[in-house]
Amino acid sequence: MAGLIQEQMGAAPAPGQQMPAGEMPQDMGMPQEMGQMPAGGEDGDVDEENPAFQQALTFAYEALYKNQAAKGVAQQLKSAPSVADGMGDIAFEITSVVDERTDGAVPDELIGVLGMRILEEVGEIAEAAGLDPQPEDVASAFKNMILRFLGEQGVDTTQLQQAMDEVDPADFRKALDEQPA
Amino acid sequence: MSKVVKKVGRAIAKVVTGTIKAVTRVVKGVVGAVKKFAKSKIGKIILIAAAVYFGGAALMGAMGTSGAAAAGGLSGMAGASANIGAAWSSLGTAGTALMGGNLSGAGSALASGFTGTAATAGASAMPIAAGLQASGAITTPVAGGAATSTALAPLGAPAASTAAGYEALAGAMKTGSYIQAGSALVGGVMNNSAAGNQQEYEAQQAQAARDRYNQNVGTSLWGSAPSAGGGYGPAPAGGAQYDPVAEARAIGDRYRMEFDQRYGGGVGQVGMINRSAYQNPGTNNGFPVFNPMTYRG
Repeated sequence: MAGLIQEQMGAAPAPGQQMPAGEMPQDMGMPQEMGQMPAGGEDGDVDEENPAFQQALTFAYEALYKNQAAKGVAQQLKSAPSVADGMGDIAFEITSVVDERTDGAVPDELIGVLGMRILEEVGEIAEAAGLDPQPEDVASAFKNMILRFLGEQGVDTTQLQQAMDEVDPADFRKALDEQPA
Repeated sequence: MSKVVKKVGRAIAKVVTGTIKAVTRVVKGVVGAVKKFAKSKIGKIILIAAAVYFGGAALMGAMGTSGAAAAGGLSGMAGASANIGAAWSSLGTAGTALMGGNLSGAGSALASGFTGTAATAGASAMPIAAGLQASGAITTPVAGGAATSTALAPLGAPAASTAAGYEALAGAMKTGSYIQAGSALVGGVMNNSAAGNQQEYEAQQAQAARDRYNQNVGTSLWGSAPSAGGGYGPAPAGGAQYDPVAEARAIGDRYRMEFDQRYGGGVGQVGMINRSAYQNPGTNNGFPVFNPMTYRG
């Protein structure tokens, strides 16, 4: 998967090339709300307006949509053992590749956010591919992605995973249903 | 190389620090993204998952229309924003527990985020947390009046003034006992591990000593039968190839040859102690010859 993403990202702008958020191509298929970057920074530590973060996000979007990597992602998701595992793995791989291609410029505190953003896109791709990921699938993918993040850093996630596994997947659906439309 | 991968070495080298950084790094951003996320269905689910796994029940309640957020006059995303501090506190508990090597405690803190103390107490998380505040168990309310994670509630707080306070205190104490039990468990495991390592080392040393003994015991260093040269037979397989009798004869021959060479004689020639000359000392070089074989004193 990493190779596929790497390949698709080969045509993306070099890490040094900054693309202003306002000039983001509209044919990228990116959700409108994602194109309009929020005027963040009010929450202190986590500033999504960080240029490196924006660049990494742009890089990921371009690779996914402009360079057609989304099709590969959809195919990978269809052939994955489960949608949840596929989404988590792909989101992690994309995040890692983006981080690598941007020379690790994304601040530590924004790596998690970047992973969430990318996972959201992967989830959207899964929906578009007709895989219809369920809330518990997305939650499981998120869990897998977090565990891989920690695992790649040498953290023993055994007990953490056990604790996470204790959460009833059905609760995610319940929680979503309680959300205002 | 990805930063995620690059940090593996450092994380291993500094396990504790790495653990803290790992948890902080990933989840700090997760919590911070709450306000700007969750417009799409997928995003909402991810946010919920982040809240459940890292934010605990407090943030979950804030994401809905009930709970402490509602009690505090907040709802929806406003409530979520108000309860980010609660999520961070719960996360901090997990991070602190991990920092101390108390993974069980971290597990308990995370697990209680959704179904832990709230479910145990038979009530929703928010009233419990609110009750804790009412009882004084929580002395530092977070933004928006939302309650923090019960996992952080200090034990030994003032007696609860309300039924909810008692209930909340029980929940907090139970969570605290989880963490204490986890700490004891980890400590016990570590002690057992050290003792096990020592036992294993001693067993290895004992086995090595037994192996050496079994290898050497009963071994004949020299053959039991005399050899033709006066020594003993060849050593058995594994024994030392050393014949002390042959060695003594060789030394004697060498001394005799040196003596003969020094005094003009040589092996095979007439010399002071040449055996062939012993019979006729007069034919020697004209020197008086001391023949120890014939000397009678």
